[in-house]
Amino acid sequence: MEITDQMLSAYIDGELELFEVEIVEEQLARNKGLRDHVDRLNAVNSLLNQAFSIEKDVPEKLCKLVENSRVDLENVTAFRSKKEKSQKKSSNFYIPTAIAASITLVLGVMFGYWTQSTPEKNELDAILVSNIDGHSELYDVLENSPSSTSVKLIGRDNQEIMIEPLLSFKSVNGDYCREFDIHDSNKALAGIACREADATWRLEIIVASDTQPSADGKYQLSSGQDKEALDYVARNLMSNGPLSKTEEADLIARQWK
Amino acid sequence: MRTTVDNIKSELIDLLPKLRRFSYSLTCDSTLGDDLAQATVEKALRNLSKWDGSRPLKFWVFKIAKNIWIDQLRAQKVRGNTENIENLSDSMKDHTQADMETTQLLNEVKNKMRELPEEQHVVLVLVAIEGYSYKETAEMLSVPIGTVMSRLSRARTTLVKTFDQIH
Repeated sequence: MEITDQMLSAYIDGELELFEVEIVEEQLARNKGLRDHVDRLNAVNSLLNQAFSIEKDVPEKLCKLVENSRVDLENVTAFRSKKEKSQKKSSNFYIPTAIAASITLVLGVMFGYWTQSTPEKNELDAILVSNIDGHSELYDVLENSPSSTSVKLIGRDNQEIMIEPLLSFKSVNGDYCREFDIHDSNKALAGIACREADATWRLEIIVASDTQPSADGKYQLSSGQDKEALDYVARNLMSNGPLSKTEEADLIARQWK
Repeated sequence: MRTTVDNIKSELIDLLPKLRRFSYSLTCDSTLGDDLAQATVEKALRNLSKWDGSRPLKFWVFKIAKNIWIDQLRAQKVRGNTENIENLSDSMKDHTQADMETTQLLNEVKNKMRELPEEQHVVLVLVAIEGYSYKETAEMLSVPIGTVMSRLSRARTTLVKTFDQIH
């Protein structure tokens, strides 16, 4: 039986079955290289515990925060009926009701407002569709523009529309996704779109942000709930954190393949 | 009911030292770690109704900390701020010359931790520093045990390589 790194890792954590422990120890007795490797794994554990040891006491303000809080147990699930508990959704990825309501509201208001704001189809309506293909200006930006680079578009009514990709990441499904913001003089939005196998970009979420940028030039989300919704979707989609600039540039050059 | 409220508060207070170390291990910075711990406690208290009381409180609280940390990393990236915030000399100031080598090694470990993919980083902290079992870690992160094992092994392999380079 081959002793893998994963087995050795589980060995030092005491997570192997007894028969596996015997196999590993038999190999360790005969193989100095393996013994050295286990020593190094144990040394890393020891270093980690030294590096992150905390000597100071818990700050008093943190204890006070808990002590002085008003805890309301009315809604804690442990005190609800079994029937209520069994109604909990079991999917690994779902948007909580309150957040979903927020997104729906934003989408409804956004598309409704823009659709009704002019007799003709608004420029941003055309940009923000659920599947963004080669006919959309947003498509070009998502395909070709590096993060933190603003792209200015001129709408049919000569209104300026700015689109800025903020970051790129690989999703848990293996797709590449980009977070972006988009605004004209009246509206500002933040969203996430993921690239499909057919080379279109699927809009995962879009929420309203303030129309005026903050001091750092970035657009802040209008409400805490919208921020929570965007964070929630990003967190559940993101597999391993944002891509580096080099990784992103490489993917743009390879058309996200 | 009053006793139960007291129990929850008491459990939260008992959890604070572990939460601080967990937060420190995620942020790799003691000040940012305390900020993360405080943000976690505030959010946990605000959202206690979302806690499934049939599951351990600490799992839920640690998951909140992990989520806030990931959101912060994303926000930092959006702001274009990816520099390490920790003042590396900070942890050196109380050490004599003889301790410098160890301190340097520990700082190397922290730097390498910062570079690990978030998911490997979290698993390594939960198992190697916080001492949770694979089963508990898998439950806390809602992933299969096999995923915990592979992420942990990859993280350790990366750190062992660093360790080898230093020695």
